Amino acid sequence: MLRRTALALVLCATSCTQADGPSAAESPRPEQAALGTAEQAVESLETPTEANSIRFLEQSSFGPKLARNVAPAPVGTVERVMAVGITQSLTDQFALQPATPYDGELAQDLGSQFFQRAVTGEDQLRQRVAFALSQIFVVSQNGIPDSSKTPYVDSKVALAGYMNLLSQHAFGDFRVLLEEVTKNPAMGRYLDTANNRAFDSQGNPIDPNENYAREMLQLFTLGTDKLNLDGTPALDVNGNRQRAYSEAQVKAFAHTLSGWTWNAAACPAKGAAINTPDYKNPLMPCNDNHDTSRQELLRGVLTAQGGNITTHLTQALNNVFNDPNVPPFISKQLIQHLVTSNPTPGYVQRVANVFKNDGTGARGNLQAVVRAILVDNEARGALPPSSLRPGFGHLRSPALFVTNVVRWLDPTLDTATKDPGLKLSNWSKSMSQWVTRSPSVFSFYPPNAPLPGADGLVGPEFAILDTATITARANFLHEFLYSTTLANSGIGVDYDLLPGTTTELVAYMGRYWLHGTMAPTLEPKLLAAMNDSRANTAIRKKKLGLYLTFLSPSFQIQR
Amino acid sequence: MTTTRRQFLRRATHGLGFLAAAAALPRWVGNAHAANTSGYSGSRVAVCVFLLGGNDSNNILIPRETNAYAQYLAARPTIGLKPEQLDLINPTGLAAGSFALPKTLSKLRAHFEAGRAAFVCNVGPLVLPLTKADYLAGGTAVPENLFSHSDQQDAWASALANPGSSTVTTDIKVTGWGGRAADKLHILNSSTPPDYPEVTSFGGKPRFCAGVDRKPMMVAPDGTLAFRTLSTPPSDFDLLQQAALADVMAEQDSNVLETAYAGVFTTAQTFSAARAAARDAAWAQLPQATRDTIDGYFVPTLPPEDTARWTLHTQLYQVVRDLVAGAMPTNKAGLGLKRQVFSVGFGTFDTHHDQDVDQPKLLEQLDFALDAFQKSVTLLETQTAFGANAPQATLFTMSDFSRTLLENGDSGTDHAWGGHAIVLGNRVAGKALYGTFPSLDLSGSLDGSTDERGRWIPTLTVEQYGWSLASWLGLTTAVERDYVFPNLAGYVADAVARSFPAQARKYKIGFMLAD
Repeated sequence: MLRRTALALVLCATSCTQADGPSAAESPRPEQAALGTAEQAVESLETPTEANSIRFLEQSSFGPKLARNVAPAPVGTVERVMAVGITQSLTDQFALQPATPYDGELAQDLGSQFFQRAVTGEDQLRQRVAFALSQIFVVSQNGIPDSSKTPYVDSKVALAGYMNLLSQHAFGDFRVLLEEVTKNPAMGRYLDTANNRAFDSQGNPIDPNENYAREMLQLFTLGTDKLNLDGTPALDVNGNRQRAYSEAQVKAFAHTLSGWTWNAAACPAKGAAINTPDYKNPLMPCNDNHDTSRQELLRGVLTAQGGNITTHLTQALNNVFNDPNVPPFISKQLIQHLVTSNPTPGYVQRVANVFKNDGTGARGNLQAVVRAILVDNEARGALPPSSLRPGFGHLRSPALFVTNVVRWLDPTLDTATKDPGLKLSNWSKSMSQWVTRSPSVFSFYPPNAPLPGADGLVGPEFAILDTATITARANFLHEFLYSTTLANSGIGVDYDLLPGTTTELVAYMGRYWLHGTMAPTLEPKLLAAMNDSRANTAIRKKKLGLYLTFLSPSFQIQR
Repeated sequence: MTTTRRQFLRRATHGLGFLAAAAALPRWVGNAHAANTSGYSGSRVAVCVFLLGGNDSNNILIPRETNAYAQYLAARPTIGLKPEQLDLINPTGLAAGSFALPKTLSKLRAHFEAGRAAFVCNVGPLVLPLTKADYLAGGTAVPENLFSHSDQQDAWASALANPGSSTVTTDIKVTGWGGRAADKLHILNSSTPPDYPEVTSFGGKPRFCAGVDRKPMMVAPDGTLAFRTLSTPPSDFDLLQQAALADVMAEQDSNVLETAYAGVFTTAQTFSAARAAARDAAWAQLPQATRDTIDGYFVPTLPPEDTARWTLHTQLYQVVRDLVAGAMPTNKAGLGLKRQVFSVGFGTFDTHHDQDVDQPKLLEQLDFALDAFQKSVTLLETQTAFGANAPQATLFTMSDFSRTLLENGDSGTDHAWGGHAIVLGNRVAGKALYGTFPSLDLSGSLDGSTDERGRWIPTLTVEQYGWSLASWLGLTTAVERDYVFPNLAGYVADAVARSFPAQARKYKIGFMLAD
């Protein structure tokens, strides 16, 4: 009975299309707003338990680490979170500036730069949020062709700048982020804002390219359906979903955002383009190639007749930023990336409310949004709320799987003479997450990918879990644990850091890596395997235990 | 009345909690058994060959009628194929020698002339049938992001040229027509082990392979899908590790995400082992001479330096090995599948420059690999080991787009739209051209081209092409059609309403022989 109730709640998290719910935009749904708060055993944010602290680091970093007797406990370690509490840990992370900017002119691959930062950086939360944002506001190196006119590798410099932009604004104002993204040259190339003119070479009006306008609405701000504040579809009186925007509005945004080109000494003539990309500076507004006519945007808002290109940009971005779809659409995706694939409507609504108003009247304060996500009762505690446990969590994406394994094992990384980051990046690539090279603007996996075998629930990361990539998960770990060539990549693991006996090691893995959730039936299976005579050396026993635990469903699903 | 596992779970959702049901039942419960296999009761497979980068099909099928050939050469002074580089073909219903293939496709030409291959002319992504005026008017009837590699590859793979504006659900938008066909073909298969994936991919576009319910076997191009071990053959320790891993997958903490993960893992472990075993066992059922002959077909005849980087023939060899495993009855240690779809692919067809040097090499590779595959299938069809489940195979090509008829200043061509596709197999109504070959006149009204460079507005849609193949595999109903190809009914209705030519008003193109 308990299980069935839990199921109903879990299903409602994503798929309830109740006809009796209020459908007016941004109206609260009190009965579900209370969900997740009712039964949660409150654990103080100031004195979190060890399990709660580990969960917090799983959600807010690229993997928990242990202080290993370093005093005081370093930032990013379980002991540190336990000592200062969740609230202060967040404050500390928000205060950290991006450590080292990405550099597109280094020989080092950008994926390698990403993994090096993810595994070793102090600014864990900023990078983790920026990584989430990079999977919403997608730009891919694969979509930036090299031109012979720049003295650098275009895709690399473009993406380095873009990743720095996302890091810089990860805790900032969503409206500012949206504008920076819109004017960014990497995005400008990827979705065709650069040289998107409203006139042809003869000066005749033409329809500008709709690529950016469409994806900005569909993927970056609104989604396809009108939403309630709790993230559920806002249905019309007949119970049907409603489109969040129309084709006419896509066209209107395309016209309103026309006329931008590469940064250059001067604007080109009407209908002409700048042909030399500049991936180091924002796009340049050129009013001659802009359609200055009045356009009808969302909610009947009109742009200024005869307005110039920058005025129109401001009007367009203000219009979309203030749409009631934005708070639930963005809040839910950030929750999915950090905490759980199927948050309850109540959780989405609590966070979306903070997106609407951070308490000082500001809308789109991402720092406040991230804090709201991570201090929510659905995220906190030693375990998820019991009623939500059957559907809670998310599959660790390939990148997060790699970084969590690495940070738990805490190897030495020789970044001076070797390229360990590239090795990590290539492992992630083998599992279909080639960081900085998303296969399309739809990212590595869509937020609404169905969870196999569970109608109504989503499992975004499952979209890239197939026979080949799940085999690659096992083979990554096998290579990491057993390959003698690991040292060639500059990765040195000291297995003596782990307990020596099988019983102690299983207890250790259960305590830390599964933060106390090891199923009572898993433990004897691990012990039986490790104590089997075919595991005939101490190191083999140890590695067998690691292999099984890291690949176990309990570890693969971050809960 | 058969019940698929998904239907079962749906019903369970309406009654008891499905968590309980899903957790209590083995993964394959509800696997339906074949009611009937429309058309052919043996094994049928369709093989998609994706020519990545946009193949210039203006140079694989060339008109030799005097005016048209002159227009062709005028547009392509450098890369146009000269008479001595061409061999005539004699398509049914057309004047003898009215078209030609490049000599680099001489093996394909032989299959064409023998009635085993056909060309489907000027096919490409469409939402609705388009006149030039419709195209110029723009709007949602025009495919999104034309001339873009990624978008047009996706349009071919998904059979959905308007993913942005379409009102179909997202699960349709993120899947491909091969995978969605598998969703519907699944009930025709009763394999051992149950629920063996219909689609196996060695390359090409992953999206093509993904269904909403049915997930493909994704395999490396060399055919291997295997868990790393410390030794080969696996040592005692390796066997311990593998067995323990399978055991650990059963520990799912009553969490549906863990169940889903373990399900995919078990799929990989179960089917990779079953696949490897069936490949070996089924192959061994064939006479040694047959195996040697097939192996020999795939040994390139050109010098190694020309073929060292070829990848298509190795992928198609893996298709042969997997289709033998699939078609071999279960009582001979095969998988016993009735219907399979394969995906392979190779590039680089994006010939913006030096096409006269590069494309012939790509076509040589294509010609060799297709011929090896076709000869292998012909040999397999008569093998008694398959009993009543002898395989039939149809191979077909897809590509991002064709390229501009007018060559550019770099001895190359640029991104265009509609192009000619190849279908090959013993059930193909071959020696024929289907659809309408475009006018190559770049001086006139250009009704069939988006602009003066010769970018053909397709006169057949990907959906008609795909549905012709999916029907051959056994899909018959309008429900199946509209699920796999959601735009097709609207396309045909619009063609009827606006009196487009007959070929636009039909759901299917007639390039497969009737059963």
